[in-house]
Amino acid sequence: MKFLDRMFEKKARELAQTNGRRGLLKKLGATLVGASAIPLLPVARAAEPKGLPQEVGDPGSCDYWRYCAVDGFLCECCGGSTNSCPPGTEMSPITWIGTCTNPVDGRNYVISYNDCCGKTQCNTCLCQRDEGDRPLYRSDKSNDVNWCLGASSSVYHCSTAIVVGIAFDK
Amino acid sequence: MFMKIKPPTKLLTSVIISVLVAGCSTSPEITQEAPAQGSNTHQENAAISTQIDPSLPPLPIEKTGNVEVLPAQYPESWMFVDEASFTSMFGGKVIILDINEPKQSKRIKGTADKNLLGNFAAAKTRPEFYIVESFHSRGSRGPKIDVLAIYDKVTLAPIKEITLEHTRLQSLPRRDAVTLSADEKFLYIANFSPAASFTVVNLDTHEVVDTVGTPGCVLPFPTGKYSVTSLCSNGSLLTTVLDENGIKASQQRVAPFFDTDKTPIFERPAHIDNIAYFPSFEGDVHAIDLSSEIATYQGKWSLVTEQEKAAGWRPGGLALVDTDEQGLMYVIMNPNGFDGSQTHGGEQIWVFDVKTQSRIATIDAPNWAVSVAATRSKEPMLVVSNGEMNLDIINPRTGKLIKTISDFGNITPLVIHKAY
Repeated sequence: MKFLDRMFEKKARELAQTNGRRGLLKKLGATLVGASAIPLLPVARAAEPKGLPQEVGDPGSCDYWRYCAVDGFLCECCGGSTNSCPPGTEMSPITWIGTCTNPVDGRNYVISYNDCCGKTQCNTCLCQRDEGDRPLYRSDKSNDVNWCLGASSSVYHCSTAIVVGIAFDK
Repeated sequence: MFMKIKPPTKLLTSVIISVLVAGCSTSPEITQEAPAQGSNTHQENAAISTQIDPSLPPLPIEKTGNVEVLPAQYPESWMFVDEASFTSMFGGKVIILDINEPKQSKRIKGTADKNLLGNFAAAKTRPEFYIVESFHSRGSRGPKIDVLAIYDKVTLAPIKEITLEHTRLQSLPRRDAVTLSADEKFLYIANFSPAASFTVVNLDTHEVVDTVGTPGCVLPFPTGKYSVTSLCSNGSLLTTVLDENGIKASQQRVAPFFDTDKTPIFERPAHIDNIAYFPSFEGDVHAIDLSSEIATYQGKWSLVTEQEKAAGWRPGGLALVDTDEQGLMYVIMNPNGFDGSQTHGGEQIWVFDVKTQSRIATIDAPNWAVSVAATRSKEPMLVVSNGEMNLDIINPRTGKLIKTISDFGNITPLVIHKAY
């Protein structure tokens, strides 16, 4: 298990010790999203025009296909979505990218994990998958950096996962 | 992986005792070799205070305004804990912690704030430590400034704050974001905007003397007398040679020695006798000689056998390596490694003699290991940031867990530094 998942699990247990079972269940629910423990839900996007590529899965779950290289709080759970920031935050134009496979069409897509900035950490739906993540010397693929670099505020809030292109090679 | 969770009855009992006795501690502590002394002392004090004796003279009147100071030379058991505060950009700090102190209430010796994922380095010979941090003028809004705060080790007050002109590196904490030259005349600060550079500060005058661009190359690894080596995006190295005043004199590249896509290395080396040992994601270790003016590649060897590699053993963690004063290298190892597990930590710590390039011991990390540090002692102790973000103290000679330290203001104590 990833260490950040463990940290949130620890927080959930501490909450149980002080707030009772109801509090535990509430917090544990949030933790399990981060820990990828909710099964992948076959929720096709019915509103998509016919003929365009479809996506399956829950964008609020760490299992969602676009999150293959993510390391942060999912904006989907913070008032935003996979490709939009929560109200009142600012999307950093500078970021790192990953290459993820869409299970519906089998294509590899370039995913841009633009951070949303200007408010403190959202602190829910923590997701750390790191596939293809590289250290700082490959800054284009490094997710340990606070990528609010290009925003007016360097305070990190959450991470999006925006399809920005089709990858030729994963 | 499975979590070790204490039996509920024992846990509840521990919590109740902690609340009743300590008053401020709700986190129970595992102690295997050395029983905690603090609780007994508290109980005795509580018993004494119930015996009222009005015939005793009143307590002397005390002076207000007292503030503690620390010794100029920190004991070997003190460590700097880089508390990154993953849940709040404003909550980062460095905690000076005595890991040998049995009494919970006396373990914290002091703290220093470290805003917006600040970077930290401690001097060995100067009575100072350094925090590079950032501030917006109005919390999360307003103009941002990057600041080098030079702290007095004794008073824990800033001696001087220097506003930095270049955007400093803001990332998860690491040991090599701020470094010192071998003689501690210069401080090197990593910048990343994402253009990479490093800023040179003269520690005699406490003045910035230069900022050197290192296009495509990151982090300032001190090299020779006044050189700095950085890791580059094509798997090469770039050594910048400074003059006696800390001004850039020349730069030289060292040929690529790894593929940053296919055979990546961790950018967090172990430093032993001026050799930097960089583990790779798959378990090789690359040796870079940093003793001369220009870095030189010394080759690689493997931390794992072919069988271990095939079984899935890989290095993993944040500060995943450290060394002790005997020159041994400690590496966190994950038995279920894959591309994506590199920062997750591991369930064992392997001990290597780099001279013989061989593993000499294997230590179980009973509560998982994310980062590891060794105390600076002839009989070092390992300080492990565990999976629950507490600190496990392990005797590396026996492999035994001494105790788990919790409740020291910790949320995400991601890197532990030796203190001097």
